[in-house]
Amino acid sequence: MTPAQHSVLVADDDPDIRDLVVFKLEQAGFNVRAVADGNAALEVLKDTTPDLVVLDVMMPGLSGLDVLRQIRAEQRLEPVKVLLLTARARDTDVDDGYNTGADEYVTKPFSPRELLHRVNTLLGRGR
Amino acid sequence: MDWIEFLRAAVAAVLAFVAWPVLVYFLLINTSYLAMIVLATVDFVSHRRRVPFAGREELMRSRTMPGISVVTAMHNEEMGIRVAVESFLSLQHPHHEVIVVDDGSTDNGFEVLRKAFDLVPVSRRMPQDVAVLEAPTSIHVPRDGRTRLTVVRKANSGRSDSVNAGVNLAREDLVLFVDSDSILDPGALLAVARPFIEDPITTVAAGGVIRAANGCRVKGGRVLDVRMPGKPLADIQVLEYLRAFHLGRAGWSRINALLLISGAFGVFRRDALISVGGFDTKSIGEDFELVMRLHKTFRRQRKPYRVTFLTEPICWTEVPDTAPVLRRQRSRWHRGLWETLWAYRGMLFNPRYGRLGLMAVPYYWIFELIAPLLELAGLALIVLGFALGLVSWQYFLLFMFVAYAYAIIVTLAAVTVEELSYHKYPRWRDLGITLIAAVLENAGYRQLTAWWRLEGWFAALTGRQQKWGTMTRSGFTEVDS
Amino acid sequence: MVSPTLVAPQLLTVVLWVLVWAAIFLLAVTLGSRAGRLWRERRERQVLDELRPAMLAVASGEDDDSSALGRLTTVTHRRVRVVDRTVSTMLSKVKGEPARALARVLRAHGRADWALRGLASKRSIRRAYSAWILGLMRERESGSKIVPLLQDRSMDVVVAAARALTLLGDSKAARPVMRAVAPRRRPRGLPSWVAVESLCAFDDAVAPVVAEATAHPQPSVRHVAATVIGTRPLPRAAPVVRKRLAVEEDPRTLAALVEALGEIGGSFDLPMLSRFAQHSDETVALAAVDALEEIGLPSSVDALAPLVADTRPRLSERAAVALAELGPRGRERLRTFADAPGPAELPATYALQLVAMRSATRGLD
Repeated sequence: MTPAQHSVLVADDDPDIRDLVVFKLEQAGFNVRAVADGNAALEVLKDTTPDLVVLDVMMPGLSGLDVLRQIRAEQRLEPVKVLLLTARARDTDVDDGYNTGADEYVTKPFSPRELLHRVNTLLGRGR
Repeated sequence: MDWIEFLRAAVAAVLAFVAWPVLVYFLLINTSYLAMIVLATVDFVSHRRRVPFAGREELMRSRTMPGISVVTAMHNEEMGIRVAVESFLSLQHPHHEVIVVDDGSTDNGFEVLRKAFDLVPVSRRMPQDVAVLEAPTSIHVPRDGRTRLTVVRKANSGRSDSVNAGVNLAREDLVLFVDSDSILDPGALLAVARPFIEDPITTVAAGGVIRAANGCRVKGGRVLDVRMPGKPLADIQVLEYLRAFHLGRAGWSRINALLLISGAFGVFRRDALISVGGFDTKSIGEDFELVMRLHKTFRRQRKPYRVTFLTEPICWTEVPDTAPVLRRQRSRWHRGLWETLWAYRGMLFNPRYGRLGLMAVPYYWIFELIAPLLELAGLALIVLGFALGLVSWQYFLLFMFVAYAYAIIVTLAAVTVEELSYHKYPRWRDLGITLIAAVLENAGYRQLTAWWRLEGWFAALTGRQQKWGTMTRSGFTEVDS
Repeated sequence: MVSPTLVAPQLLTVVLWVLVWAAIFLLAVTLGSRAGRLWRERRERQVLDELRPAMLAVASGEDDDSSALGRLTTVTHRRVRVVDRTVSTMLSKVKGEPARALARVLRAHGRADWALRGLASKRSIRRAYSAWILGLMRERESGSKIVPLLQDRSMDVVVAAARALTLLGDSKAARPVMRAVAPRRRPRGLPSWVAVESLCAFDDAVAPVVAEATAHPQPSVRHVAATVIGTRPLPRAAPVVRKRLAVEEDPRTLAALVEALGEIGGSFDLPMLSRFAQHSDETVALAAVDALEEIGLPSSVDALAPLVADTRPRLSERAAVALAELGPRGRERLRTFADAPGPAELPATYALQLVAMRSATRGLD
């Protein structure tokens, strides 16, 4: 029997980054779904519970932190892990992210390998 | 028929003196527009070429990005206010706040906001950096204590006074004024902050481009699709905005002599704004007056300062699409123009103000203030002279070429620059509409608005009270999908 | 009667022709530019759709056998431009091994040589783009050739050069970058934020350059130096900052220095910051309040507390909120203020209200 396939939701408004993350995670055997903004992410989260959400912080419309706040406010989404992907590299921003309930933080420009590594760690997948 | 002979003689006498000056005036005014467009073109085209290495991403994460307070006044706007505030809050920026000043609305506007954002009153003391007529009656923030929104209630005292109250409550270094019915692009705040972090010592204000939102597809406070309105009156204004407000001001900014930042979308360094005292509540052209005062104050103090203009089109607003509303707007603008130019007449040809005093202010006097008078008088005289057989058909034709055909060419030049730089209107159909509008503008619109502007000027000179024109809005074309 | 309004027919003809040709010219440019743009965009989309999988494989480091790299490096000549542009966009978004692989694509297309030649081009756009490409490719040896472009006459080139040097991260460029902020001959220098980002990306060897710049005659340079000290941060510069605080005249630079001291200072600096909180320029005074909070020492509470009673509402409010941020001891002080009538009552009440609202919604965190 194959191990359960982890599902990941990716939200980023930059198509290059979105495609890149999706490609990397799909190659690693994840079941990936991608959206372009925060509202679309919440829409998807209404009726699905992915194992992990990769969120861009600065998206038009709802920001990644807004989405994160809503995820953390919802009982059903409690087990969902959240990884923030962002261009903001200030220490206070990282604090903001963790305070709001992020599990992991990756800054752009990012290394896809490092991203995968952190995702694996978050989901407890040894490699 | 004695009086016909008399009229003939009178017109002939006047024509003998002014026939050629009128022609030269039209030649100059159109050439000045063309010159502005050429000046601005450099900025526009270089902006597009800079994109790959201009560093938008880096700008966003720059540690030097200053905070911005987005200040907006609302008066009976319960329909659109929630979407507007939501979209202001969600603009891309690491550190911005939104301040809504409820200028004594009599509708449900505040209730709408209270419900949408779960507002609760707080005991905050408003700083008196800028004097206000009406003090806030209550200050509210969202219950979570985090969402950076402040809603202030106060008795009705007009837009300028409300905005001044917003300035007092603003906490960030930069203050952005925007009308609550305007739509900002998601990256607008990064764009407006840019001149201030490029030159943090001297930049004190920056104006932004306003474009007509009529006809655009809008959803959730965002412009999805840019389109021409498809109604002649609004179509022509799109061109007008493009030519005068966009390219014209960019041209002035390039020679460092920008006089006007629209009150509907402008950003100021808070300390500079406070040092000159905020908006003048008695002024009708309060945005123009403020920038003139800024120039005057800083020049007098001999402080180095810059007022710049952002060429990226990032703010969209609905322009009047009915004649009565347009008439009120234009007559009010012209009245404001006159009152401010008159109040600051000391700057005219004053070498102490450098390019402002020697170029920009005289330009506004001759080609903005007096323009409608000369245009209409010149046109009337020449048409009359032609009808009376005093003007040869060759001269009449030349007049038409120089006054109107040249104007169409100038507009075409503006359209060409737009196509070469931002090309915001993707549909071929819109290009067609643009070209038709360029012709139609000169056949009626231009003359009509000149008349309305004269009305405003006349009302100011005779000291009649101006009634505040209320803008009746048809609302944006919100789409569902 | 002699009509003053006679016009020579020749003049009329000339004017007519000028107008007609101008209209034709403008229409042709507009239509041509639009048609050309649409055609190019379509072609590029086609090319990219074909090569997208290979591009993603390389950029995500999933190209173990280098087959995707091979596909990208062997495209036909006409496609090279499109591929290179996309690759360079991608390059600015990833780092590590994939970034090196993407740079290899550009190198295989001869971009390194092309860009090195381009640094001396007559066209400013070519110079700027060349410098930027070299930076993206992390061509470290090219740094010394990019540095002279910091004095270029075109601002686009200066910005591109500084950003390329930021990517190369060689601190030897620190002095030229600082110099570019206030060039001698031109009115405008390198934008402040680009200079700050550059100087923050270099290693600690920039410290002497930055320290020296705090005394530069131009306030724009001093402001950059102060900002760099605070944002890097550069603790070694603390003595220089203290010295400059006594003599700095430009209020915005002074505010930046005060803020910097908040990042790198210690309990020793609290009295000085308290004095600056009384400064007549409000920007400076507010920066001092922020600095007192940022230092975050237990004694900060004692320094901030008297400011809550300040007569300037903006300052007292900022001080109260800062106290609330400083934890239980700060809040304890605020409660004392809020209970006693006086100038500190209102700001303290407001700050405590915010704290209460935030902790009530902590469940959302």
